[in-house]
Amino acid sequence: MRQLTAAGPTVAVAVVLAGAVGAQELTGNPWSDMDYGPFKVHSYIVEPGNNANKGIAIRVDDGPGGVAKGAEFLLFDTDTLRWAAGWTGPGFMDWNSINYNGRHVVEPAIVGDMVFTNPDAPGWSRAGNDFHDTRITGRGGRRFGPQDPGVARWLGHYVHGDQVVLQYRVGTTEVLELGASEGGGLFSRTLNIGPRNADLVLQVANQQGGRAWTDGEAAGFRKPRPNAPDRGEHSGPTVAALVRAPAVVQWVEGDGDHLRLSVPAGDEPVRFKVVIGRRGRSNAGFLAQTAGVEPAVDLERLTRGAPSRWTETVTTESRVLGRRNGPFELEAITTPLENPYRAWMRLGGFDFLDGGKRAVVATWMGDVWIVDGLGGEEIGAVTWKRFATGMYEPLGVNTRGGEIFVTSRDQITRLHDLNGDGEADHYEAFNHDAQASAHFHEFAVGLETDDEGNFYYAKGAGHDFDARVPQHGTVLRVAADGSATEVIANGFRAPNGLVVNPDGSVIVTDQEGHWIPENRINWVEPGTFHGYMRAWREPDRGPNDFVQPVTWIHHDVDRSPSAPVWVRSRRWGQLDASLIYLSYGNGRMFSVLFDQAFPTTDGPPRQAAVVELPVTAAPTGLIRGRFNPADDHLYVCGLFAWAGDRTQPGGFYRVRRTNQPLRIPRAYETARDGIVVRFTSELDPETAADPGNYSMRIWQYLRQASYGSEDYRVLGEGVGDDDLAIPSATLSADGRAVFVEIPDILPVQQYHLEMNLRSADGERVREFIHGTIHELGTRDGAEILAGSD
Amino acid sequence: MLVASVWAVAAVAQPGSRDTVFEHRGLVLFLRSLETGTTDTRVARLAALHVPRNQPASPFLDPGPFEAIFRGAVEIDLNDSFRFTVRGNGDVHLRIGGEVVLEQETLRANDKPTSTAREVRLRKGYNSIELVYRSPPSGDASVRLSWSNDFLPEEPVPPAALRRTASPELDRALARRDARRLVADAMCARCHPVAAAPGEPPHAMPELAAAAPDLDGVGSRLHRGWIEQWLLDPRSVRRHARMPRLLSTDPTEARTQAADLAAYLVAAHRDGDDQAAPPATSGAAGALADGHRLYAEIGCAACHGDPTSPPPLDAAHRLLAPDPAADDETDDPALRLRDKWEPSALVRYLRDPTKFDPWSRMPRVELEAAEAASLAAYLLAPAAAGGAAPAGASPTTATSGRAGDPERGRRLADEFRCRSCHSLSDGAPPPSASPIGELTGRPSTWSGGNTDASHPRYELDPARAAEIERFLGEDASSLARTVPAEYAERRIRSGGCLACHARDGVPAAWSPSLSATARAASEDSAADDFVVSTEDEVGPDHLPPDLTLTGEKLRSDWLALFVAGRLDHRPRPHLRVRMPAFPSRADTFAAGLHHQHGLPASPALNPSVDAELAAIGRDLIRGDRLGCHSCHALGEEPALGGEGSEETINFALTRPRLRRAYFDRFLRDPQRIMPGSKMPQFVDEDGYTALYDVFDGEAERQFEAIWQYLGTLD
Repeated sequence: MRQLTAAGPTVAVAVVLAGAVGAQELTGNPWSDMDYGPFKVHSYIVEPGNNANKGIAIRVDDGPGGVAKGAEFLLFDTDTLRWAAGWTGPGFMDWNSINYNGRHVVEPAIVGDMVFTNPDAPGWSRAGNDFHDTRITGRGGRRFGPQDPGVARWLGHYVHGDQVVLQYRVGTTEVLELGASEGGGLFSRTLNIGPRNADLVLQVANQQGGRAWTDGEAAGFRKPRPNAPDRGEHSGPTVAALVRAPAVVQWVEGDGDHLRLSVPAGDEPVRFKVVIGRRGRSNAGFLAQTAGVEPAVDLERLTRGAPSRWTETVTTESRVLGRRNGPFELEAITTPLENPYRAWMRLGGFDFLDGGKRAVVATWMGDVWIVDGLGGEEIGAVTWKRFATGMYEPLGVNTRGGEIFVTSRDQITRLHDLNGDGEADHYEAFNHDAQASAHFHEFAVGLETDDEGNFYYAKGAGHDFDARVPQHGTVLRVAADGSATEVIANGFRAPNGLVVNPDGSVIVTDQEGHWIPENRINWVEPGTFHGYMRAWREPDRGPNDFVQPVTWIHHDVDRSPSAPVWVRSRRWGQLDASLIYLSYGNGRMFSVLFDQAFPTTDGPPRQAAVVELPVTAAPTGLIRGRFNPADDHLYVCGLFAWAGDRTQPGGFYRVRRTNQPLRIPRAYETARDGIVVRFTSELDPETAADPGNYSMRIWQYLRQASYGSEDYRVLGEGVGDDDLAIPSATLSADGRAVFVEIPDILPVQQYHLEMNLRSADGERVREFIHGTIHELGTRDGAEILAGSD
Repeated sequence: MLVASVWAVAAVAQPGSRDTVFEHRGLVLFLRSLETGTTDTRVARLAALHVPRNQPASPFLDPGPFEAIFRGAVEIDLNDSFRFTVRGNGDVHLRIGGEVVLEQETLRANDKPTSTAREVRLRKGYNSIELVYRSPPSGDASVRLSWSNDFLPEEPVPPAALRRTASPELDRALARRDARRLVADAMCARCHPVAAAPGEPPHAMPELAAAAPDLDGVGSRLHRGWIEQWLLDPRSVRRHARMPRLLSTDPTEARTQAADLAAYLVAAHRDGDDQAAPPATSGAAGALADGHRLYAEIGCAACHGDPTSPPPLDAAHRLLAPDPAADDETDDPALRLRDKWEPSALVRYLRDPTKFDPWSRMPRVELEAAEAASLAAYLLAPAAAGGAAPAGASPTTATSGRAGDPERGRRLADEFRCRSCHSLSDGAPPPSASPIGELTGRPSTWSGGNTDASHPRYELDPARAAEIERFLGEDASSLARTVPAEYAERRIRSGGCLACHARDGVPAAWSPSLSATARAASEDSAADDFVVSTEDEVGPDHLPPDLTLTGEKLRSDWLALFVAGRLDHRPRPHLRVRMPAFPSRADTFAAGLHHQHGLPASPALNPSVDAELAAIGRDLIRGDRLGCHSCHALGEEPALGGEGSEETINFALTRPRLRRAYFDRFLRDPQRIMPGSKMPQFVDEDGYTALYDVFDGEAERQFEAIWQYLGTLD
């Protein structure tokens, strides 16, 4: 038994200590001490001007601790299907990334001695096609996204122990490939190439001005790489050699900057190795070294599942956090912040399995865990089992049809446990259309489905530069079979969660920043633009030609909104079928009310307001939520990254609706002369009728290219807000609705109606409605009140 | 002997009805000596005061026991209930909304406050408030009023919520203070001694120590023509000039005198210190751009305005022409920088304005030599070249045309007693004239339009002149007293602090985001396609701090060093605007800010550390715990690099800098103190942080551990 501390009380955790971590050097930094497993996907800077935007960095030397603690590495870019680099440590990368060392406006670079690199260009070509690049050209001239799938298509990878087998298609030719170390700084590529209906050329290494030579099975450069260190036998120019290759596989001669192999058309599969290293003192020495290299193996046998590697599970006890006996209780499904893998448990998304008895939880650091033991009336001990690793900042999970889909920045991955041992063996690229760059703010968030099974997720835009690719700042729809991706709306800055409505529209949040004066909730119809001028857009779109949010949200109320969630729970009573959203900024939850002055049957809601739900603030920011069909309760998860109030790294929670009465606003309607607010319970008539118990402040924002906005007065000049007079307040006959008379009410970007009341049973009701009025209702408040009983 | 029951006074002095309009900020503070019955009235920012033993509560009261009545209203925007707490020592009595909510209570010590027995219901809008305080018979006197409720941890009733009415009584009291300040500003005491009681000089009004600029070497610094014009009519050159008119009332004679004096000053007072770096060549576009940027960024524009906006506080002069073609502000000396300064002397002056004028209103701002040269180049360049001066204006050293007689000028310097205020090393100051209390009956000295050249002529409006006359006749003894709280308030206003700092709910008069010059400068370096620019972010973390709570926030010793410019580091190096140095009487200033909050100067820093707690604190601040280290550097150890880490203060500065009570209050609810800050709020409404594994999540104990850890940082 091992005592671990986590988000809840000290818990007894049944784990077997990982025995293989040995004498790894731990830095104390969670990002570089985490055992990511044998690979880590990210966007990496290889060299100046050479990024691997969807790079699988693979550790190829033996040893404990995963890729972060390795000494020899290969980097494969799944967009170009090229090996971007092979290098040796010490060091793996510089960890300059928002999700590693927390730095902003940086991109991570691999560090160490480069044995070989290839430029940001396709790794395969049809002969004579001169490596034509079919990726889109982004603003600024760089290439992004996958190649034309008819030319080259990434299919995914298999994990077998420490081995990572890549699967892709070149034209119609299936390829399995394994990168490995042959020791002593010698890398190998094992290629299993299927039948070919065309001659193919594959890129092995590149060096500007390298003056390539070929000689039978070997090829190389005459000049060492610039600034190559002197490592004795392992120094010198980059060279490569074929190992047991069929005769048809030949080095391409005559290209001074490249080492390339030609693989002619043919019906027979070919299998061979190519080794890449440094020449040492002579070619003869290098060839002698390669002579000992084992021949290529059949990689298909590594694609059938592998023995478990994450055998240690962690069991935790749940506990209630904060206040009890309120209308909601927040119950921590205690997250194993300490675990055998030093996994940094910053939770980014989840969905349920087995009808809600289990959950699939992804972490921003790239893991997927299975949490077992949920859905009962009482949650006791739950077991956390590591299921998958190494993914690229996953922030969305969906278990459509019982399968596990994960949104990462590079792709939507379908995870397969091929041998039923509780771990993913196959990371299938279900949809690889993402146009990824290394930009730190380009998060891919959420994963929701519509009735047809199509997937939806949102993608952040540049922090403060014009979008490089059409997917920057968008909501995306992925066909149910993963075959295509469509931008359904754009103009978003930093969305952090979305929900799909039955009619196909989408609700998505966005964050204050450049061009976005405050946080907001957007109702998104296909084809709409939402105002972030540095998102991808039509060049001539004017700055005021955009769809207004249904409400702005001032950062004092919520400094960072995340996922909207439709309530689907009978337990929630009057709030069933209503919309709520979660806050990354303060770990709270809010109810979203739509102005009842404008029926939504004919289109999107005109405007909305938010009301804080009486739920204890979670120790983390909250970013995803779903109702569990097993127990009809809301589950939420979240994390801390930056700019939030709740700083525990990650957490998973159940929000229990208790049988205690709820005393909050549940509906409102703007009138010509005020606002009618309907509550979930009866109000004390005396306090409700006292206009001094209400205040109405209004202000507006300056939407500008610079960050955020001050609050500006509406009725006067300058910074500040205005108080609107409230001469009367009238309680409805049923005691549940109040007409707050505001004769000067007017359309305004932001209002904050605060109420300090008592319920009929004497409890304090201190609530606010915070929202936007694009247009006032046309009825008098008294008329609304009379009809509302 | 006590002259009356304070409670009886309170009973007859209730403020007006609920309809009373409390249109001004602050509370009215009535003060009365309990020994002599002397009274005074002023405005208090908070319902708080602190008076050290043997010091007066007001410059118009003798030291000794006193009664203080704070009166006005608490304004709230929603009916609400609060528990009021009074801390301090002495007797207190609190009335809110006309009801007594605290009967007479005697506070024995600061750590044993008294609170209202129940929450007091306040109505939306104004709620009259009256806090009556009677100091103990001897020793320090302190009182401060705070409030709290279920949603609001205890805090001083904030200045932004306190309102008062106008009253003739207060107007008279304020006019009396204004006269006192004017007399000090006019440097009357340089000639006319203030009768100080034994032991009182340390408490004498600090401004009385002020001297006019040192004129040794002035011939190397200023152009002769400008000196002549200044001598003839200082206020034609600078609207707020303190220098009186002295020369003959006959214009011809005055011009001759000015020429003679200027000749004397220029000839006899060259210091040969011309080797300093001249301004960068005006044609050097890079230097002009640098100077332009510096002017916009470091805060020059905060006081001096920019081409599109006049000086925000009307206290400094405009340095930049608003419209070269249209404006001819001949009475605005700011446009005459090139007329006034020898270029290299301007560079020296910009680096340290206090070198020749220790009491200069222009503070010292840390500038590298090259920066000063660029700034001078920008200020002196013709507008057509992108600089400040209007097109068509040309530098001139034109004089009256008279050569001037230096010897006659020297005699005039004696005659006009120049050495009383200015240092001129070729002669001694003249002997003192009659005591300041005997100066009444000379209204011509103060008011405009007089023709009596036998005295300095300040040319004030008649009402102010009359007020000064009255002051000198009745209250000149107040010049011998210092009340640090009032001194601090005067310095806040005269130092231009409110140009850059928000305070008491009033935004700063200037901010970089509002400066057209700053905008222009930043647009020069517009971000390209791949460069992220966050330079234009404006929020509380990017602006000089709000000064509302400075008096309870900062430690006295640190604050005094900081204000005096004697720290060897900048606590907020990310701010491009630079905090100027105000070296004179910074300790009194710091003490005065504390006194405004009802607090004494902070005791010496306690360096002891509980090692066990400190170790827990070190763990708590880790990047993956409370996350403090993500944004805050720990001494030499840099921040881990989270967003906002460039805008934070090194944790090594926390304990030397902050009072402990403020540290706790800030951590408990940062947004309450600094709305919009990126600082997380760690504590929930029940007083727990998210880290339940340490002290069961109790925030108070966790913060104590962090405080202990901070004590280990050097």
